[in-house]
Amino acid sequence: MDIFIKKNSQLPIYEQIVEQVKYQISEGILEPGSSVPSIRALAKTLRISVITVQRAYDELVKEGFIETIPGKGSFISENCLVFFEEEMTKKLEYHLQSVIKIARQLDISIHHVHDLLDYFNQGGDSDEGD
Amino acid sequence: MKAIEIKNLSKKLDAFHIDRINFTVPKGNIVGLIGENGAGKTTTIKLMMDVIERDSGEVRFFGKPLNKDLKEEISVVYDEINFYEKVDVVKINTILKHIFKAWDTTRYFGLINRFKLPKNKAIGNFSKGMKMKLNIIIGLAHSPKLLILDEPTSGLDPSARMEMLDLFLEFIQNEEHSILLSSHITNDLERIADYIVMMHHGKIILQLNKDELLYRYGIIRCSEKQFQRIPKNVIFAYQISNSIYEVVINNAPGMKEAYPELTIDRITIDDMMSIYIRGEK
Repeated sequence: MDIFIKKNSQLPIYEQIVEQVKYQISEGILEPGSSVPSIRALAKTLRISVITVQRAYDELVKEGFIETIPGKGSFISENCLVFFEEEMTKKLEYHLQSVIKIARQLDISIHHVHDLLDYFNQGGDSDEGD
Repeated sequence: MKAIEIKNLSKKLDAFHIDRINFTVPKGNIVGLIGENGAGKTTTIKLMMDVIERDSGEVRFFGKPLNKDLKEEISVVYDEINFYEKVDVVKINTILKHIFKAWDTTRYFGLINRFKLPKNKAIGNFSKGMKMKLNIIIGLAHSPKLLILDEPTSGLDPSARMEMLDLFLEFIQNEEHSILLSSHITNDLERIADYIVMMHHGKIILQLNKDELLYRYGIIRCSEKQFQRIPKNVIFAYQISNSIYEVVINNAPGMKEAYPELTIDRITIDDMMSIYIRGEK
């Protein structure tokens, strides 16, 4: 498992680990059932504290991405992709809710928002203007 | 289980006194004891190890007061080498394997080779960095469960310091192993320590999980007018220079939410110590 830490990031190191593991799961780099390094081994590789990795793993376990089997180690959970999809769906819902909030503030009708969605969906100009 | 547990450790000395110190080193962790030169770090270690007699308080290692058997399981590495200057690395091995029951000759020479220390050169001719490395290697070679190091990286250049950090992280790959490490170089501790204990004028001023410290604490730079609006209970310490207030706060995420207009920056252990020591509390 390759994790790269940005030292001067605003994002705490444990969150960087969580984000990178999730990203690698979504990209298929980390597959369900594959083993992940022990907390101490990863701390050593990254030259960071054990508690930092511990916190990242705790979060990944809590969210269902990693399973720990006592005496055997930690593994990417079989259902990791389901959890990833759930999380992304929540993210999508959250962003759509903010869209509606902003539209209301600007007094833009929901029909216009629909039209904008269609427009962007058909490859209309994005912010980056590529 | 705690590797070290210190309760109300006190000692009056001429220059200052160690004043009711309390802290613990959980098993399997690295704890960084930090403070300026003269804060009382070395004295604390010597008191723990009964090198200096304490006035009061209690120190327990693995749940027990220090005794002869426990001493075999604890390595203390001081900032100085205590060997006769004319001996060499090979001779040291011969001497120490008779002193320590669990002395590991293979490990000793393995580390000597890894850090490229000369085997037949009198240690009186070693550089300060080489002596420090040798000290740490000796500390590891008698197979301790607990490593106590006093300023282990102070005489070393950055690459040698990195090698030592690797060595410490290797040591705690075994969950039974723990490290207490004193330093005034906070950069190293910011990387590898699990807990930070801050010491000033013989007192512990703060002890905290390192990540909590780095992400819960923060620093606000602001005007006097803005300073007046910061709730007093979130202020850890502050200083004023050129009419700019630098305020260390203990609840950065909460303050960011409550006062989005304030400039809240991430904190380093150095900032925190220096504002505490030179500023107002």
